[in-house]
Amino acid sequence: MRRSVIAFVALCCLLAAGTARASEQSQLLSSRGLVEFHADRIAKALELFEQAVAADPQDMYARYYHATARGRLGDFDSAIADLRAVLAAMPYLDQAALDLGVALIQTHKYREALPLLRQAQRTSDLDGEASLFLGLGQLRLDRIREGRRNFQRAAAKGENQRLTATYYEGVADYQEGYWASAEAHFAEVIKESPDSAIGREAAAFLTKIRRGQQQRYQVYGALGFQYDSNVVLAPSDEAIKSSNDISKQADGRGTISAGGLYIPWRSDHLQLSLGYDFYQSLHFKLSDFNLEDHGPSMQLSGHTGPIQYGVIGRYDYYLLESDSFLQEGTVLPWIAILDGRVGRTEVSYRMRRRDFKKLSFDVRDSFNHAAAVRETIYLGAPERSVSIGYQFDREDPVPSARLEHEGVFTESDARSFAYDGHELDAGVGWAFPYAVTADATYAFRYELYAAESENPLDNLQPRKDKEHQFVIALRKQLNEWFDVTAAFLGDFNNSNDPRFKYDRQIVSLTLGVRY
Amino acid sequence: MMTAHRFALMLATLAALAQPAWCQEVGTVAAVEGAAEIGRNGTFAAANLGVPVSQGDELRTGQPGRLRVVFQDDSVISLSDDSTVTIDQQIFNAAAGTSHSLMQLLKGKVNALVSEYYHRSGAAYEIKTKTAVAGVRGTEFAMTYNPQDEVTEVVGITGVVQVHSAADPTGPGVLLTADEATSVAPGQLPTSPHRLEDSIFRQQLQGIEFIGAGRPESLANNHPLVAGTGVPPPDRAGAVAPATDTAANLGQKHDASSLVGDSPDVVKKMTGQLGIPLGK
Repeated sequence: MRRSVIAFVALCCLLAAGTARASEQSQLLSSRGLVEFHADRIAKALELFEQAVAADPQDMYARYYHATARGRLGDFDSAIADLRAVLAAMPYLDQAALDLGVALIQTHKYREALPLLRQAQRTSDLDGEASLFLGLGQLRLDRIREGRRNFQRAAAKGENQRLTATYYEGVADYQEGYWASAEAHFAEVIKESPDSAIGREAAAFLTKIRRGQQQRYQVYGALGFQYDSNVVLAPSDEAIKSSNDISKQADGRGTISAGGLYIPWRSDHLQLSLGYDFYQSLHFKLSDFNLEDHGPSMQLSGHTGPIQYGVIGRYDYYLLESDSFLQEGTVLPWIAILDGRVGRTEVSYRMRRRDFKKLSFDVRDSFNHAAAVRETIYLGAPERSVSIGYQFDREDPVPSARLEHEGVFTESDARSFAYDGHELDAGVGWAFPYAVTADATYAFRYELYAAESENPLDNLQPRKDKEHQFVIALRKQLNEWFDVTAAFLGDFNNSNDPRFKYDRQIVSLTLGVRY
Repeated sequence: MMTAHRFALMLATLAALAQPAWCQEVGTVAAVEGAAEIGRNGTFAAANLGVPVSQGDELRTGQPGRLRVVFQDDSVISLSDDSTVTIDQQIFNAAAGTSHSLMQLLKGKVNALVSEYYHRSGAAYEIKTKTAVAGVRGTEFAMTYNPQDEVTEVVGITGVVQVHSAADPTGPGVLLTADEATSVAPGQLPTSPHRLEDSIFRQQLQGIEFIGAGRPESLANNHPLVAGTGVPPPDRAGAVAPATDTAANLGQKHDASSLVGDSPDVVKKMTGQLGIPLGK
C-alpha cells in the first residue's frame, strides 16, 4: 500500500514536472545567457536565450533577453518582433516599451516609437532615457518644440543622459534659430566632456553659430548673357506690328547685377536687414532698352517655432538708358510655415505702387495688390520638391490728373489697363550629383481687364489675356562662392486683342558670385 | 561498500578542501537589483553583474535588493529582499558526474533552480536553515527563514523537495510537490504539506523572476547616444540645417525671372511699357 502511494506521488510529480519543465529549463538557460551577456559575449548569450525561448515560448522574460541580445548585435528588426511579442503578452512591461521604442528609433520608425516611449516615461527609472529617445524621435519628425521639452525632462531626470539631452537641446535651439540658447547648451557640453563625440560635435556647432553671428553682411553679383527673341514684346500679328512701326524685336544683351545685405541688428527671434541691389542690362542693338535699376530695401523678419514671418519694404528707381523711367515702391508682408521635412507653406501680400517718370508711360501709373499662397512639398529633402501656388492680383491705375487735364490721355485710357489677374503655377526642383540642381516651372496666368479695354475686333468684349510661361533652369555650384546657371524661358500670351498677343523665348547663361 | 560515485565525490571534496575556499570560483552574478553584496573573509563588496562568487562567500541583499547567481553546475539561486545566504560547499565535476551543493539561508528568502546534474545518483543539493534542511533532485523551490521566530517555510515550485527538521535530519521528513508548502518551527518536525492558493503561490515568485527588470540588458543602457560616445549622422553639426532667417525662401526657387538671370519683373515691366502700343 505504502509503495503504491509513493509510486502515485512520483507519477504525479513526473507529470507536473513535465508541464513545468520547459519554464524551469528556460529560466536556467536565460540565467546562463545573462552571465554571457554581461561578460560581453553577446553571440553566446543569444544562443542561450534562443534555447530558452525554444524551451518555453511563453517565457516572456527569456524573449525579452533574446530581443535585447539581438538588438545589441544590430539585428533591430528581429528585436522589434520579439519586443512586440513581449508587449502583447505583458502590455504593462514599460521596460519592453522603452526598448521597443529605442529599436524603432534605430530603424527610423519614429512615429511608431513615440507612444511606446511615452508609456515608458510613466516608470520613474525609465523616464530619463525614454524622454531622451522620445525627444530624438520628435526632433527627427521636426516636432522640435515637443522634442525640446522632452530633452529638458531627460536632462532633469538623471545624470546618465543629462549631457546628451543638453546636446540635443542645443540642436533643437539651432534648428529653430535660438542662437544664444544653443550656444549656452553646446558650451555646457564642451565644458563637461570636451573629448567625447558629443563634445566634439558641440564644438563644431558652436563654430558654425559664431561664424554665422559674426557675418552680418552678404555681397553678391552676377554677370549674364541673354538672347531674347522678343525684347519689345512685339505682337505676333505682322499687320499690327507694321502699323505700329515695330521692325526689330530680337536682340542679345549682357546683364550685370550686384547687391549686398547688411544686418545692423538681430536678436534670437528677430532681425533687421538692409539691402541694396543694382542691375544693368546692355543690349547689342536695341540700346534704348538698356535698363538700370537701383533698389534699396529693408526687411524685418523673425521666427517663432515653425513659423517665419517678415515684412519687406523696397524702393526701385529705374533709368532707361540715362533717363529717369520709373520709380516703384513695394511693401510685402509674408509668413512661411515650415512643416518640418514635409514641406512649407508660404502666404504673402504685396502692395506695389508704380510711378512712371517718362511722360508717355504715365498712363500706367498704378497700385497693384497681390495675395499669394504657395505650398511646397519636399520629396525626401528640401533639395527635391514639388510646389504649387496661386496668386490673385488687382491692377488699379492711378492716372495723373494734371496730364489728363493737359489732354495727354483720358481716364478711360488709364482704366483700360485695370485688371484682375489669377495665376496658377506648379514646379519641380531636383538636386543631382556634382552640385547640379534643376528647376522646372509652368505658370498659367489669366488677366481680365476692365470694361474700358473693350476690343472692337471682339464684339467690344473687354480684353482677356491667357499667358503660359515655362521656365527650365540648370544651376551648378562651382565652388563655395561661384555658380553658373543656364536657363530657358518660354512665354506665350494669348489675348483676344491681337495687339497683345505675342510669344517670346529667352535663353540665358549667368555666372553668379556670393560671399 | 563504497560506490564509484561516492569515491569520486570524496576525492573531489578532498581536492576542494585542499585549496583555500576564497580561490574557488563557483558561480557568477547574473542579475542584481537594489543593494546586494558579497562577503569574503569578512569584507563585503558590491555584487555587480559578472562578479564571481566563490565557495565560502556570503551573499546578502538589502531592502530593496535582489540577486541571482548562476553556479558552475548551471543551478541558479535568487535572493529576495533582505536575505543572507552562505555558500558552504560547491563541488562540481561534470566529467566525473559529481555535483554537491550546500548552502545556508541565514535570513530572508531564496529561490533555488536546480540543474539536471542533480538528477544523477550521488548528487546532493541542500539548503539549510537553523531549523530545516531542504534537499532536492532536479527541481525548483523557494525557502524562507525568519531569524526572529526561527521558522522556515518551504514552497515547492516544480519537481519534488524533501524537507527535514534540522534538529533531526535523518528523521521523518515531508515531500513537497508543486504548489505545496510546509513550515518547520525550532525543534519541530515539518508540518504536513498543504496546497497553496494560486495567488499565494504567485506571491512566492514575485520579484525574483525578472531581477533587474531588464534594466541592465536594455537597449538604452550603454547606448552610444546616451553615453555621448556616438552622435548619429543626422544630428551632427555638418548635417543639421540652421533656422533660415530671411525671406529668401519666399518664392526664391521658382522665381522665373531670377532664374533667367534678370532682375525680378524687369523684363516684363520694361517690355510691357515699351513694346506694346498704349491703350486704344
